[in-house]
Amino acid sequence: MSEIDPKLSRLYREASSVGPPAALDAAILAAAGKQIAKPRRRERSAWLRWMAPASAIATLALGVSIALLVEREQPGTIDETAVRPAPPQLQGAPPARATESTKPKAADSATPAATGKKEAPAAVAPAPVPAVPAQVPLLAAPAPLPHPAASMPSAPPAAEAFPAERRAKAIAPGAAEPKAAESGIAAPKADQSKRVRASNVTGDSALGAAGAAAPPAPAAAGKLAPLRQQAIQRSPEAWLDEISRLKREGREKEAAEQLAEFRKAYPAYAVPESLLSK
Amino acid sequence: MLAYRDGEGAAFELLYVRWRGPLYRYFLRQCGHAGQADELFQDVFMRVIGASAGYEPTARFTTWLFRIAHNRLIDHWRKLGREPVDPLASNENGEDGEFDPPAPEDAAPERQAERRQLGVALLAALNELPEVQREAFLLAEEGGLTLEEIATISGVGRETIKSRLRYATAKLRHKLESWR
Repeated sequence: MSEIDPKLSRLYREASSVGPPAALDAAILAAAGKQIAKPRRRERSAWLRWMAPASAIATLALGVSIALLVEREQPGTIDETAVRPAPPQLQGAPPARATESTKPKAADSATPAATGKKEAPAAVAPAPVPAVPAQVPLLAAPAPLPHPAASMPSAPPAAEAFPAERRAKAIAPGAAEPKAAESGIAAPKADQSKRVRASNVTGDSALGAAGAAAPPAPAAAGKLAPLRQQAIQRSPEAWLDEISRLKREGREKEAAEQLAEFRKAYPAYAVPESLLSK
Repeated sequence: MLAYRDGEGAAFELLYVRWRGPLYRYFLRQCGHAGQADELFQDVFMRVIGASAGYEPTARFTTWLFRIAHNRLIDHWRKLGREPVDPLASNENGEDGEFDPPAPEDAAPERQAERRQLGVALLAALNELPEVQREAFLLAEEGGLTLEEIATISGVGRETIKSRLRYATAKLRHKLESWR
């Protein structure tokens, strides 16, 4: 600085070299160190301050989503409890598959079966008559084993069988999926739209079919329903395979009866020559 | 200072080592008493530490530091019932007033005889300077501040600081003449 003589400035610097005492240095540096620690604590406290509300929000969101899921599942659960008493009416249905399609908890890991179960009660639930819940397991249960032809009443009309088959797929996708895949129909998914569609189907044609089976004679309903269900559950290919198997086993009479039923159910279906010939 | 604000303790140590001597001497020369200088010095650095969280570099750190020191010194003087008197009454145009006569000759020779060193004589002469001139001198020497920075800290115009420095230098030279 030009206002101060450089010689004077140099002399001042040489003469003035005193500094603060060491104790003062230590006290100030210690205070500075404490000051550094404060912001870190403040950061941690800020995190802790936000952690509680964040966890509360997360818990709330989780609870709401679970509640919504439970609410969605609830109709299925109620109807499944109504379905449980039905399995004893299954005649000839394999126990394992019947259990799989009727027990609510058994198929938790199998998503398609679980969704099928949800849909089955949804399809049956609107039915006002008390006989309907008893028929639900029959509808839901696949019936791969043949029934004696003598006990089979007349098969449902073909026009009725097709929507009934669709309904059966909606009701028991676990059983119907493989056949649906064979016929090029996409496997049913447990979405709301399909559920609505299934319930619509149930409301007009499917329940109508069930109702058509029930009214003729309450005593005969026990026999009629499995047979009709058999027609509903089976695809034509599966039925023909069954008839073919009966023929191979030499059970010609049963095969003929089954074939007659098949032709009633599917009059327009082209039956292979091997089955027609004796 | 920014590094210290962001949690780097070593940055403060660097600052402290750099400015501990100049700031301490600033107070020591102004107060003339080591105990008061200790107190003021510690108080200023405590203020610096306390203000570090909200520190923004609006000026050089040195300017900021010595502004705190200047304010603290003013408070100290007020507490003691003293007011720093500017012997150079600035006129309306901001020009320098009349040249202040040297300090009484009776005190200076005694001190000069006692210390027998030119440096010591300088410090003594510095101590005899009017407070505002001494402060301007110390801010320039210890803080290395420019005229504008000193003017900002002292709250006066640049020309006033220039005059103070010029008169301070002249007085110091005058005091040291007898030792040459």
